[in-house]
Amino acid sequence: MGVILEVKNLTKKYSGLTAVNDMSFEVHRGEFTGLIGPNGAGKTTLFNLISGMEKPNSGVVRFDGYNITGMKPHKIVNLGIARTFQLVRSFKFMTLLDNISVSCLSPRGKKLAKEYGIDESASSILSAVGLVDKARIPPIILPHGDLRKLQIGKALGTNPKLLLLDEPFSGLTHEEQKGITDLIIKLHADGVSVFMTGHVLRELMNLVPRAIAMHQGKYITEGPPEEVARNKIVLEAYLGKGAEDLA
Amino acid sequence: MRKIYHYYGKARALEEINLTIEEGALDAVIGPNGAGKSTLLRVISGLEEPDRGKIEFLGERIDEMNPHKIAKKGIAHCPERRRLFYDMTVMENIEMGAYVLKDRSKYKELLDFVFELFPRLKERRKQRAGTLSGGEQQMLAIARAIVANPKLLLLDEPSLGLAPKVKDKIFVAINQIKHEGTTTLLVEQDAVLAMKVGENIHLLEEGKIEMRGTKEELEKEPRIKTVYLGI
Repeated sequence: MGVILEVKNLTKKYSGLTAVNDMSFEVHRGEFTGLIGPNGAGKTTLFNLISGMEKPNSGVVRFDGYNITGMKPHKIVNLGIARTFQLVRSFKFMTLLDNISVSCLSPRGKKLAKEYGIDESASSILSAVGLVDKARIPPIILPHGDLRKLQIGKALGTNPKLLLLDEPFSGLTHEEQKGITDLIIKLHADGVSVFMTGHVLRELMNLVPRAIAMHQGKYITEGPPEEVARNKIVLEAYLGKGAEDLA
Repeated sequence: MRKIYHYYGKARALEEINLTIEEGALDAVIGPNGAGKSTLLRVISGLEEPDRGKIEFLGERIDEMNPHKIAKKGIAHCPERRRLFYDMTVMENIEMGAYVLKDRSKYKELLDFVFELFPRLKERRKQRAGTLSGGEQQMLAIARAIVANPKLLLLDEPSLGLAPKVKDKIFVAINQIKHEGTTTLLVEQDAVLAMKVGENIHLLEEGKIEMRGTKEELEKEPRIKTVYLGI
């Protein structure tokens, strides 16, 4: 299990605010890792830096042997990182199959589809995310839970080695959360490295074997969720100063 | 509140909420992000109409009433992220809060009280609200609610985004408001702070009140951490 993603001294400043402050950590190949932190901790900014949506002020991001710091998003996708966003976006009036086909047309996606063709490849992804019955339907009429699955499907279309999931549970009902959980477990079992955020922790902390915690842009701790949840700074970040004195 | 349910589309935000607040009390609702805390206040002040259930205020049904009527009945809502009139001055913001007040001599008295509570606002009364610091903006939001002379004050997440020292200042003021006898329902993610001022604490998780009790009872309760950290 080698390192697939290495983040070193990564810093992103906006005027007057350091959103990511000297973060360093590693994610291993085939690993299933969570990134936690209260609202405004810098989780999404960190994902933006890794996926090339934003450029860091300093620090390094290495992926699968390549230095990808400051690289354009599409180049990073072509190396094998795919991400989803907190807010779901899709091609609203195209069918689900076409939505997935778009990402299957990416260089990595095409390679994957070489043998059976784009349509076949897209429909096998649709069945993997549990939407194959809805292949001919446009996203505009689907519930939120299905749209989240579609996001993950679109990411899978690029045949990623590492999947970054930003808040995959937010805004979902309980049953929908369960569906997403099952899907993520399945993808991980198929060999994709998964790195995901969440500020609602009930699903996340019971899912990942290892969590990295950040607060106010800074790395705090990492380890098994039970240990991370007992960390003094993590407790203070979520429950307030003096939280370790609570039962 | 009796058996209140509220949905956003298909997502359930509140489920069977029962809540009674005694006159003169300070109750606090705590819980993690997304638990439904703000929605709880929004259904009380009429910004959301609950899908089911009943809300009575001083013996009168208010759950189908418009927000401006509820404000006139004596409920003041100090919203999350302050929601000030940023292009107006501090003083103008305060006056906006007092628009429900008929008695102008009462206004003078309340104005003295908020300036005593927050001397900073008096110093900056001619300054544009948008140029205030985060802590000062929170003070102004509270002041704007107080000058309405509410019988029930709803405070949504007053510690949000503030440095620990500034949070403490705000909470000293909340304590003073309590001593003045204003009935208050505080919603707060910072459980430690909320438990410092609240007499009755209600723990909200995914739209349901998971447990409630006095501060002393909840301090011994390990479930609070579980609800916040998921484990």
